[in-house]
Amino acid sequence: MSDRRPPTRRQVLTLAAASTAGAALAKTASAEANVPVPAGASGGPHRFGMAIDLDRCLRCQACVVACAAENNVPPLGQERSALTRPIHWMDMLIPDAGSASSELGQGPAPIPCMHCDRPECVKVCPVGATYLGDDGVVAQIWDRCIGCRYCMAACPYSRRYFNWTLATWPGGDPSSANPNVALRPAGVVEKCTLCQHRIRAVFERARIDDAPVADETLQRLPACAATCPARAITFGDLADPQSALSKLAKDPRAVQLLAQLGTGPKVFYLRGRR
Amino acid sequence: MKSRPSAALVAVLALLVAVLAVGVFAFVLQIERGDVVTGMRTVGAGGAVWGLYVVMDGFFLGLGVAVMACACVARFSRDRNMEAVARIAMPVALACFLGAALCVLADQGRPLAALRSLSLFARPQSPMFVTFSSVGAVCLFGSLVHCVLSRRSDLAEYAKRPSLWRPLQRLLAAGYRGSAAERHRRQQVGFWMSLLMIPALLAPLVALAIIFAVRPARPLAPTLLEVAGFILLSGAGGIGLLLGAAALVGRLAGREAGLAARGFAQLGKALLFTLSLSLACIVAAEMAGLFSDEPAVSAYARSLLSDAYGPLFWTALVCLFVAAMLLWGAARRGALGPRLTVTAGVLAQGAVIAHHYLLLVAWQTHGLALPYQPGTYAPTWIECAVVLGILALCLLLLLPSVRLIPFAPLAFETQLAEGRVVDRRRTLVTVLWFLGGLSLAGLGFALSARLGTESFQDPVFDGSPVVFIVGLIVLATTGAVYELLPENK
Repeated sequence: MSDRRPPTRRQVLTLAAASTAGAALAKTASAEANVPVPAGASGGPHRFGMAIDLDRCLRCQACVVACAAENNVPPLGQERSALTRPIHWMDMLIPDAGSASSELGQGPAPIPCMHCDRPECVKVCPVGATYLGDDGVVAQIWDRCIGCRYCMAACPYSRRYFNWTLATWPGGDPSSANPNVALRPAGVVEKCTLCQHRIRAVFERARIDDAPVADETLQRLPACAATCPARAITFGDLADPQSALSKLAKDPRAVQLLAQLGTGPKVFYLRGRR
Repeated sequence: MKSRPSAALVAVLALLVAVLAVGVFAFVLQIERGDVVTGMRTVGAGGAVWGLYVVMDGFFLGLGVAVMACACVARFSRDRNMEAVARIAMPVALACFLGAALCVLADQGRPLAALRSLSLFARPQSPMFVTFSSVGAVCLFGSLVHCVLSRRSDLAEYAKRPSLWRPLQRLLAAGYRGSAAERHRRQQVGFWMSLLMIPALLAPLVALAIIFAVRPARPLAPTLLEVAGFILLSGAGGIGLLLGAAALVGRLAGREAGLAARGFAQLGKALLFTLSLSLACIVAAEMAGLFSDEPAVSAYARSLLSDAYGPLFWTALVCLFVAAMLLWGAARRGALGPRLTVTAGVLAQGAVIAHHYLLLVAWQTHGLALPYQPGTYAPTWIECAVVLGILALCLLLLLPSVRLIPFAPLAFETQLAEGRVVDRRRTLVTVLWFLGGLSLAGLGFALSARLGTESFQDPVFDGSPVVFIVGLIVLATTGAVYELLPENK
């Protein structure tokens, strides 16, 4: 007869506690360190971003209007204005002397999605409806979004918008909409995509022509940059050290909004000299 | 002999059905017109994106976890006085979990798409995954299994009496003969299920506390205090609910079904402990916020004292303080009776809702990292009707469950089974079942999490989260396998 006894409750509990502690330690050790993300670190050859020169910016809000027109953000109108639930992928932020935005100086500043390298919205999305693409763009799969709005609560820049109701168009006719951008259903979150459809078109053209994409082609590619009358907005690839954007990002005037949070925003503001 | 329902019961049922109907109507309106019919608005544009639904989700889940944890501890203690706690707590906890799940569903912009997308693509990296999977698989299913297994001896007795529920009672008590071996198994299963349920219950509560308290730019110290305050206050609210339910059961179903005076005193002491700690956490978090260098944090803390949220904040604090003082005074006199503890419990419930509301909403309207204009949030009648409808549905489902498994115990096990009954076949099957569930859950987690990928973290294949959920359900039924496996003849 064997004298081996079955494990006691105490032994089982001790083993379970040790396993849990080990797993927790392993998780802590492998936790993502809050280190700067190098160029191209999003996994692909590109890392698109944007620079906004606040010295050049006229505060004319042409970028706000162009963005809405390009991306099929429906016009508000009187009735929808009364609902006080506007959607502005590109908006104007009025810096406050006592807040983290004071480094932008005085006067309103255009504020798109920051397309962070370590986006909080992506971390919290329960279904992967928002993701950091290989090109560094934080994109959204509208069809997959369940409308939980966790990404909106998590975004420190509050740059995400929820479709509180179905988009309506003047006269009920959306035929004036841009065919390259999908219309969003009610109940999903949407945001700036850095005009990803334009980026894809340019790179597809380059692939067909077997020619590289020049930095000059990219600089005014998104609708906001293309429309800006003062050329205050510069788009580009931060993975390319020779791009105009990379040089602007190294400018002594360049700042990132709420950089201390460690989200790694890819939109740089060039502080006004005035 | 069939007893006719009393007029009061019929009136209560009619009221609940009416409230449920209004709730369904309001929810249909919300689906048809969009969430524009709620009081929620875009963060940064003068509103809050999470409102009453998420507040009530936190309220229900916190209550459910606390009540179920009380049931588990009561079963641990093997104190006959506390057995009533477990009997009353389990169905109440189930109703709370159902309420929490429905509140989350009501909050989604696309509820049906949510069920589909969560089944296909849910990401374990999101705190919401823990609440979604745990509430569905562990809290609801595990608690149901625990509840039925713990009452099988009573069900066997009830099944001998003629009633409408007799076939179902016979089904649930099938095979129970009350032998010494069965009673021994029941004790073992009760112990292990109670032990394993507590961490499984805490997981969604901690995840929800993180969802409520962790905000951009909020430093670690106030965040941890808020998380601790959320968990402790949920515990206090749960104990308060349990006290109220015990008093109600004692009044409606007789003294033998309710809680003894000693049980009220024990729960009263637990309520005093959790209330005092949560009060300390809330005050410390407010002080840490007020003296924070972070503008967003101090703005949020100031908003709690301002005109916008001040009345609610002070009301919550006064409720907590008065409840704690009442309990402390009575405990010193050794007079922690049912009436006083239930009063303190009701005050705690009010404080829980107010605290969760402030923690969730005030940060969105007044604590943003960038200088957007301060906002406001007030729930519309649609949100209130939907929440009341959910509450009515939970109560309507609770009533038949009380008829199926009445609170009053019939099977008195006067002495515990002694000696160790070795049944290797049963143990082997149970261990294999447990390992199978663990493997499924682990596999589902690994496939869903796709650990190691940096950017686009889709599951390895669509539906991987379902594998994880099925694994959890298999794990939750391990106790049932051990107890219900037929004996080797």
